[in-house]
Amino acid sequence: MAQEILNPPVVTPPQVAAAAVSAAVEEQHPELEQADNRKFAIWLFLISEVMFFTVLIGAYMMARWKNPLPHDVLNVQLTALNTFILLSSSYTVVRALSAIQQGNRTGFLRSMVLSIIFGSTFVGLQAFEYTNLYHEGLTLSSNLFGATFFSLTGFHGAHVVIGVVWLIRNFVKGFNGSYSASENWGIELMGLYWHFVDVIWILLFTIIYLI
Amino acid sequence: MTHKPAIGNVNPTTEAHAGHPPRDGIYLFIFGCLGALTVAELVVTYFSVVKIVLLIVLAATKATLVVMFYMHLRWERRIYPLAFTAPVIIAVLTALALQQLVLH
Repeated sequence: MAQEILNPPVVTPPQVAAAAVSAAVEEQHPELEQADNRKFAIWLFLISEVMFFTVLIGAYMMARWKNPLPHDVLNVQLTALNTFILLSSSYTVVRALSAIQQGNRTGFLRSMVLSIIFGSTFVGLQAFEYTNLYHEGLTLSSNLFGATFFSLTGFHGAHVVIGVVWLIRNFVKGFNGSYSASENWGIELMGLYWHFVDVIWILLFTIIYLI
Repeated sequence: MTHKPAIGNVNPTTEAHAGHPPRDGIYLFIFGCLGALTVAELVVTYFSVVKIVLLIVLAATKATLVVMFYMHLRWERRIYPLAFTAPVIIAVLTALALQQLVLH
């Protein structure tokens, strides 16, 4: 105790330690140089989402192969339209990013509004599909197929809802002038998330509705 | 008075991409491809032979186009494709393993 009082341990401030770690990493791994932490973090999050949806898709495939699905229960035409709507939203989101990077604020806001409309329409049509399936007798608890189908598409739908909320938030921020040609991180990160949700739906549409 | 962004909020991607022309034409072309591939998928469902293989190839092509062009992986630093590809391979192997589990 007396020794500690006479010779207190040297404590490195966290900022100094973090800077030292950063410098060491960049020296040993030059490919990481200038890799922005926020963008890399969202890519890591998306990677974890890949594994999350893989397990759900695996569970769906197990249920589907053991209990062949009556295809006439699912409305492929309506879902194809919904797929096209989600693809359109991806296009408008990437156009929004492109517009703000070019300093085109009007084009950015217009693309954001279209993205919100497309995303909301997707959620609305999915709710409509769920209502029809419930009337047909397919529910979350009716059988193994129902459980895996609603879990898989429901989790994806929840991701779309989160994406729409994110779009609305960024639209409001953009409307208030928070984004510009040089300051648009929020749009780029949101775009990565939105496109990923689109990629998942591309796979789900094929696996659930077409195969 | 010029608005000066806070340190750390300037998007280096924007600065790095400032030198080349806008990619709006590419984005529109990719959107057209995605629409055409979706129509192709619907047509393929009427096939009886190699239907599943074709559908998987078409879906994988669509997903790749979105990741490469809309998520900008084609133009990103090498670390991003490396970080993303490895778990995708693991995911595909997991899905195949689960399928084998069901079939046997």
